[in-house]
Amino acid sequence: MAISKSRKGQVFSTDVIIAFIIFAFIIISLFGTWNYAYQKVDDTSKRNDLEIVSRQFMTSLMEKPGQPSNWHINSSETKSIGLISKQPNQISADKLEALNYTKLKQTSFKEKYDFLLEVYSYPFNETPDYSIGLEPTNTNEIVVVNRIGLINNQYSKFIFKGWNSE
Amino acid sequence: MNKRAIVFTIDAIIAIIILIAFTSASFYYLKNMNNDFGENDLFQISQDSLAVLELNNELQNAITTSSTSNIQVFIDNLLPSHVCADIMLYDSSDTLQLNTTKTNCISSDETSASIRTFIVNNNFYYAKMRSWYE
Repeated sequence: MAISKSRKGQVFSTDVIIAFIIFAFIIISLFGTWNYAYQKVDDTSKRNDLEIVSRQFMTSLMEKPGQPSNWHINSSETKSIGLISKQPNQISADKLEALNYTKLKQTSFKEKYDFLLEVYSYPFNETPDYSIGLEPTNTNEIVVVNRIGLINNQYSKFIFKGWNSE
Repeated sequence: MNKRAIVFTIDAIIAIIILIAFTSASFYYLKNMNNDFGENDLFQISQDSLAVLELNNELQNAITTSSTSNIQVFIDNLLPSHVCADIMLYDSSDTLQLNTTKTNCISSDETSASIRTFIVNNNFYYAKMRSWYE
């Protein structure tokens, strides 16, 4: 009795199909979770960096006199910029007026970030009494820091907006 | 001979349940992973408020005149609109002397508190400010 050697067999059972579907589901789930986790951690890390830089920037302005403390008179030797006159939150109007956007960004802020600082003195007008920086362009990721200070014994609100300009 | 069997062991079921639980937990954690700077902001607002009120002698004046009207004006106008706060003034024996709350604010259990001491007529007092989100 002759048996043909050219016939080929194929295993294609329901078991294999189900196993393959489960395997594909597991792989796709893991890949999706990994991608999502990576993206979320990356976004959070960038956001946290901007939050920390923004708060440090405002702390430096509102609680330190700068180095040297008369940087607004002799600006050539400026190492850091602060706005206080004698005590934290007591802001020198002269130092505020002497702020320079380019120098402020160079000394106190990261190159990839940008900012807008607006100051409203009480009683408030609709437009800020003082403003420095650029209007935010990336409106999705803006960090807002609110601080309160005294300028010439007038209560003043300092509203800082920082964002990623890259 | 045509009947087919499906292998469906307890091991496989447990493995799939663990995978689904792990994936769901990961998604839930990541979705709720927020930057928690809110409490820091509240604390900073309280610190700033008490600092400028003391610098402007409003804490001292409140004790002298037994009136919180100027402090009320401050918390009603200077705080961000979404932030509520109250300020309490105590003497050195922890007796409440005066207190005031931002207008139209309902008190909350989740507050951030800041304390600042000041002197009136050689007597120590302290101001406690609690702030919370509306």
